[in-house]
Amino acid sequence: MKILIVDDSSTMRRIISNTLKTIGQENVVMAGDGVEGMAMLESNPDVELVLSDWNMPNMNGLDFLVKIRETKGKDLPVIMITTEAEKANVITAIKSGANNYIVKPFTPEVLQEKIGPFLK
Amino acid sequence: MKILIAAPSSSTVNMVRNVFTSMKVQNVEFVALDSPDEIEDLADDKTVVIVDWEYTDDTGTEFVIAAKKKNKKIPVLLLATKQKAGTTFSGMKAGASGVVNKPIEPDDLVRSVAAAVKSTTEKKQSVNVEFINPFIDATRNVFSTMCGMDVVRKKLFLKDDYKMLGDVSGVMGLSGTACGSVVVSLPKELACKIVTKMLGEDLGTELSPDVCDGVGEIINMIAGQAKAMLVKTKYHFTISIPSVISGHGHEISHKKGTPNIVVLFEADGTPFALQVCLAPVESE
Repeated sequence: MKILIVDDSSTMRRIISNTLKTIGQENVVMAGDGVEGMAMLESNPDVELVLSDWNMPNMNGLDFLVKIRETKGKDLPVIMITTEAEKANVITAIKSGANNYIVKPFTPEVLQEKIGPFLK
Repeated sequence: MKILIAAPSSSTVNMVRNVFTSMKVQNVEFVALDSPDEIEDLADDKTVVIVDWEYTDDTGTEFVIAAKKKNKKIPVLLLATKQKAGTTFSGMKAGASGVVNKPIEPDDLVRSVAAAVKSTTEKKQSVNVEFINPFIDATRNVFSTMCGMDVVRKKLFLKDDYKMLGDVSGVMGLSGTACGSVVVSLPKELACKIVTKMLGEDLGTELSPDVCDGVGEIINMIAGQAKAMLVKTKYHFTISIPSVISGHGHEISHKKGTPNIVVLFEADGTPFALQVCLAPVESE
């Protein structure tokens, strides 16, 4: 399955991508913010899972999530991976349509566990 | 005022003396130190110790330790080239209170010495540090979870100047109920090591864009974790996008009038600094 990683940090994109490789997920595309993420979804309609940061320039992760739900409905799973660890943020993201929420810093095991149910 | 100068070359003493003479600062006695043991006999209440950070062994650190052992209130300043900025951590850990850059800017040296003397004579500013523990816990957690490294907290002190102790610094501006900034400042070697560990890829030993990006992510995670721990307190803040600044002896300003707290840590035996400057908005 194709997975889109959206994060303004190239380090974090590579950490997530490297972890996905360890569980056999190598078909990955990446973007540096929500605007690039939307463009990537347009050019890659076969993306089946989105992993998105929250704090990013141009379009943040929450706006990106809302935009995905507006344009693509509820079928595309979106998991937030963010330093925003407060309960209020988690609730906001889930209410806005996030399918799961991962707080940075995370171990590879946590990432695998939270992403696992959405993998094909 | 007495300025005790420890330097591997006698020219440093003359250089410092000439700066004070050219700035027309009077009533200053200059004494060259040959050994850390001499501090015991020479130091008094109006003494500042300047250690030239050019020793090729641990002598510089020994001078700092000897001065603080004689009287922990004696201010010690390190005189270091910008190229050596990343190596001054051991002096700061031993008790030095600031760094003066070489080549010496006369204004900078005289101001730094005056500030150091003032800090020993004025009534100590009351500093509320209740918000610092979440940042310390967050730092430990980020290094442990992302890099598999245990960090040890060493010294905690206040720092007024803008000089960063490391070769590369990640900065996060904080705003909201409280505002200020948090900075992690790392020697080049440690920055490369931690980002290499985070990624599981060898990034070499130079400050590449990849290493700098990794340092930005480190401060992002530290700030995010601390933010969550400070929720519902007067120190709660929001975060945005981190910045990274590198280069020998680089400077980052902080909010004037707000105490700037430096916490020294060690990771794998290498020191690094976390700097937190934070105050509730309503108290301004």
